[in-house]
Amino acid sequence: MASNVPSVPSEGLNGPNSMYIKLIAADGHEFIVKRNLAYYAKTVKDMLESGPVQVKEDEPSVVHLKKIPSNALIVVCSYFAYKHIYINANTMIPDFPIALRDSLDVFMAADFLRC
Amino acid sequence: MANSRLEPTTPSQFVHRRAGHVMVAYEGRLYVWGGYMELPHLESYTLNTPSKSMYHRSDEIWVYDPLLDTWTSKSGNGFVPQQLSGSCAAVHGDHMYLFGGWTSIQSELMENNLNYLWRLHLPTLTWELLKPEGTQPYPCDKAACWVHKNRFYVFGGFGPSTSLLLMKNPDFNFVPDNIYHSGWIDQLVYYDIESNRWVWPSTWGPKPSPRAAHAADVTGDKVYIFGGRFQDVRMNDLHCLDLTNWTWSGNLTDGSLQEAPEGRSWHTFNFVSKNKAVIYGGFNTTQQVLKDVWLLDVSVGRWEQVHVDRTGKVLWHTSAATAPGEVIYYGGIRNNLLDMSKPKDHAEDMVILRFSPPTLQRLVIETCCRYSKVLHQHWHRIPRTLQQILEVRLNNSINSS
Repeated sequence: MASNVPSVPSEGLNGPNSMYIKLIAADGHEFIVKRNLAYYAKTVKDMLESGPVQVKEDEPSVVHLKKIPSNALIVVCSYFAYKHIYINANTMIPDFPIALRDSLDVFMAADFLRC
Repeated sequence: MANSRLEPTTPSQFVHRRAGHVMVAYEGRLYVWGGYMELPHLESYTLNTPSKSMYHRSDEIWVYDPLLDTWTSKSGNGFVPQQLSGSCAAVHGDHMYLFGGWTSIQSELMENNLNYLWRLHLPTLTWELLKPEGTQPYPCDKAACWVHKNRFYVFGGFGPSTSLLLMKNPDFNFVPDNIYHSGWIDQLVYYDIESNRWVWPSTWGPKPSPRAAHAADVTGDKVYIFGGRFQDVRMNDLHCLDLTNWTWSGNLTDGSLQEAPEGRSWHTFNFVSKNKAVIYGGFNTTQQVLKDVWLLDVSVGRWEQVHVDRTGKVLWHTSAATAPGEVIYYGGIRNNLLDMSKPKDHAEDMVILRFSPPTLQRLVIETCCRYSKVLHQHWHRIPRTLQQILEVRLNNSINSS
């Protein structure tokens, strides 16, 4: 992990109701996203809310996505933002671009994450 | 100019050459029935060449799956209606209600316009001819319909003048056409599903003029009706009927205050969210076929034109929302339907307009198919179930089942 990546204050990530959560890709890249956006993926929501382990107040909310490479996970996170911006806009929405080299990985990720 | 060689219709053309049909969305799929197809002529066209058309089989229902991009032909069973064009249809629960229309079957016993009400059970594709109590609606085609709570409503239409003699105390206006022995009506009637009865409600406020080939859609407890043809004019007026207190709004289109779409008939009108509706295409008063798309926000009473590259000119097409904020357009004719001197050109491409984000699964499936030539060699990396989705979609199949 790069050393000059800005760190999110731990209050933002800790506890079962934190504003942010961390998604960790198969290759170790970490993505910090807002919880309400990540919940567009039903699987993420189920893993954090109905999972076997409850997150403690002083622990970060983390989801390990061991089968999703970072090139796909970054597209998924961009999709969360796209969906959030346009979900209530009710105008014609722009296309969401997905690069050729990422498409099969994103296909598997979207299927697993249910988003 | 003449197309002297009559080529046989391919399966794809069979599906995509359709006008005057009905289309509804049910459980994310589209169900298409009825209508007709224009046929090419053997000799060159003159002003006196009658249009040659073929009605589609009435025992056939075509089902479109948007995820797999496949059309499947299914057989209807039960009391199958005759071939019709210009009927209107809407879904209530698991049934599609079908009203009116024009049949090509000549008979001395009945007019070509009908006022029958059929019901199609969509999971089993079983038809029933309903026999409602109460005063039957005026036989007509090109009416608009909608479903609200447990009622199937019909408004307007174009029908034969002879039927007027048979109606006692008609609760509507009939305005004859100068050319045909038919006319425009402003009937407002609903079928009450629970009591199996046609009901003619009394309304308050300024009722819209008679019209045909208009379009209507419901949001909450209100129905909005836009456009349609009355005598020589294709209108752009917008009317709202509050279905809880039966009050008409009067014409909400005021061209002087703001931009509004031009008057038209044979267009579509669909709500894509609680307050926003989209209209597309149609036919204007100067007989031009339109391709413009407009969004209407009913909460502020404002129209906004939406610029879309991929929409072509079309009239008498159909539309349905298969997912929230997504409307699919199918069928229709690209050139002037009333110009007898030219062959008719069907609109064979489907159009999807999105007003809210689809799922990432849907977006990525479309992307994978677009790049399929390059990606195909890498498919072995993805699970078999996902491969199958891409395979089915790419075969672009038109199936019979």
